[in-house]
Amino acid sequence: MAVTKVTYRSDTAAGDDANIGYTAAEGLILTGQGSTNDITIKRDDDTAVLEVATGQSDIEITGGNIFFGTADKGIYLGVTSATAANLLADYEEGTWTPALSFGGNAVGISYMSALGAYVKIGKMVHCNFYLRTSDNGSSTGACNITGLPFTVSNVSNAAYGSSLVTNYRGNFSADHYPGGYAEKNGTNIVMLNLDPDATATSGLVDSDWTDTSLIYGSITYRSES
Amino acid sequence: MALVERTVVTKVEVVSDFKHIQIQTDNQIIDDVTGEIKAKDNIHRKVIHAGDDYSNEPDDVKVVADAVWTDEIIKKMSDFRIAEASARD
Repeated sequence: MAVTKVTYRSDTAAGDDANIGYTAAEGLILTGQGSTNDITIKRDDDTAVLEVATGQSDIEITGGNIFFGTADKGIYLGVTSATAANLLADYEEGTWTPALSFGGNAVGISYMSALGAYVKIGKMVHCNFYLRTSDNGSSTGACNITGLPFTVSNVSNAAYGSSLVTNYRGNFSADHYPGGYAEKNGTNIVMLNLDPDATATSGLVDSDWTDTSLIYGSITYRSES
Repeated sequence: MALVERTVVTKVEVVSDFKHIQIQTDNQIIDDVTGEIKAKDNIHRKVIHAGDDYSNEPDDVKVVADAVWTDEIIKKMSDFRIAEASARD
């Protein structure tokens, strides 16, 4: 006959070899005392899944990972109660495809390489990329790198604090040093010319990016979600 | 049997009151006979914004865009872009 109900009415106590108990305040209690672990949870093939070492308070997930059965759930870090600002609910790594536009258009632009990767931790997104054209096309105007993997925050002080860092550039017009920032409420990097000899930063435009210009870069920004 | 690559839309997210659509795809390697997935988790991301051309997007994305990109939202995004461009000039 199948067991349909198991009732435990007594509390557990220090020194119990192994016990399942109950109190009105604590509900179900599981306790034990072993030479290696106080508690071990195993699966059917006798492989340990979770362990609490003897006399310790840390939990070890023995062989697997942790995931949540509902999307967008996470862990509150650094606090002892549920506080929205401390919820870490997202991590992701993947690829994105950087592209170029001039004045918002990309007529005839072709690429030798357009590679991007990202890591997202919470709302912070870090992107690396390598972009090299073989033809800069015929569009004109302000230069943007498009295709960021997540929408940039629409809060000005969050978006404009981001900075494009280029560790290598090639074949730009003379005295042009590409920099930029993530455009708020969008997915573009607005390209700038960080010429140290100029008195102010100016925007990078189509005539600055030659047919074979290339940059290796990275940018970290705060995303909208 | 041959191994073939396919791209599957794994997540479509609508973000903020501008209704940005964030698309996550997974490039999977599958057995073309059994359909068994041999390799996956090559996550790729892109975002499309109200007013963008989405005619080449997967059907899953088109359905969402049709639902959330009203004329009002498209105008809102357009107005935002114009204001931002004006602020930079």
